[in-house]
Amino acid sequence: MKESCCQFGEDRHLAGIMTEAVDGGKGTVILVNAGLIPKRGPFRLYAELARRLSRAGFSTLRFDLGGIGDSLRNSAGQPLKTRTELEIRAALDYVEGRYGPANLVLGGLCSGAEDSFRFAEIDSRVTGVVMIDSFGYPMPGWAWRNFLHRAVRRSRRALGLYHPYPHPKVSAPVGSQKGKPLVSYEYMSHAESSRILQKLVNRGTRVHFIYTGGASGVFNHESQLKAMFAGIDFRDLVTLDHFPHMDHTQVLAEHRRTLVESITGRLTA
Amino acid sequence: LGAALLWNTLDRLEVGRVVLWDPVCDGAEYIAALKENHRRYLRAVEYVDWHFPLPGRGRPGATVELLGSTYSDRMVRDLAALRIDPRGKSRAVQLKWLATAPAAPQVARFEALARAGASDGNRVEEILVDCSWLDVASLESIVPDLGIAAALAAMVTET
Repeated sequence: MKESCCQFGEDRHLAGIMTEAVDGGKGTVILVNAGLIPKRGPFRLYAELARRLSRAGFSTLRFDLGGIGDSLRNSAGQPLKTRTELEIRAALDYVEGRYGPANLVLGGLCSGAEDSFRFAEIDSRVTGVVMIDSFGYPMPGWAWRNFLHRAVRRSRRALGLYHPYPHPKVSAPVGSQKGKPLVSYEYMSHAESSRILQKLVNRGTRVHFIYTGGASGVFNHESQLKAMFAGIDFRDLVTLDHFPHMDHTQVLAEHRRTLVESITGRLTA
Repeated sequence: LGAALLWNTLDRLEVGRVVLWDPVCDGAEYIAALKENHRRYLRAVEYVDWHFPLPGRGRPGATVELLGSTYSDRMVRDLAALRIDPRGKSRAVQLKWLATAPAAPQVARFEALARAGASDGNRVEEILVDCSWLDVASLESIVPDLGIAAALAAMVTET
């Protein structure tokens, strides 16, 4: 396996790591930052995924959007959405120049998933999207499943088998913003996600949804995906893996392995 | 942890000054805290998953998973042996130390080292931000810089 650092984009301000396919060129996967976490991914998920995909015949570029990790912030005057679009396009241009246009897949966790999905709409070079814990919309059935889950959790707590973990301190520790959230993320609206998904399916783009237990506040059963997009014919292009026992950032190695195998399996199917 | 590793290799390095940021002062305490926090994390797993690995479980010589990282048994033993104490060449090295909250134990350790050392210009600086190094819920959170990078840069470049 061969890995190398790379720089690309306007003024070469974006930094990434290319992991080359060990055998064959089935395509290239581009991984977009999960929130503000650098290109290794949460608990090195992206690094592990890139190396597994390499053995499966895919090259992978994991890179930092401007202002994250090793990448410089450029185009500072532009809105975040515009900057993200420009930078993902720069990543696609880079891998296309290096490997040709065959089978370009975008993917990421949380905001990285939605950034990938949003960009896929406007660039027909994207042939697949992998989304971990992206948007979700509670549908009929979600509420009683959530109630049941909470009841079981409460019972486990009463029996001493469950002890909630304190929420992360993502608020400003000092200054005028003290106590206020540092990051406020708003998931994509249903109207926007429906429009994009319809467009991608019409274009023949494969979309792989993955939901973990970290998304249980909006998604808690496999049947929910179809219900969320009832008006769209998935045409075998849309796939789903649901891992309710995992947390959002997969602290445990076994969970990361499961996720990596899920993505690799879907891409090579 | 990087600071503790650096301190424990000083005898083999030719350096005149070291800058330490929140060093692990006692490796055994550090490993114990990692294990306790990992146990707390597992107790907070909401779904019953009979497959998740428990710390210490597994065949002899297996790896140990602690807060998102995997260590070999040998690595755990080596890390537990790390200490920041006066030793060898470290006595003659100029020491700059950046301590975030809780800073008091670090300041006490710095003062002990400074007393035992032969170098001038040692100093400790406190920035009262809690970096939550051992909190799994915060490990992947992004803490605003709040002067940490600037303080470290000053410690490296000042004469």
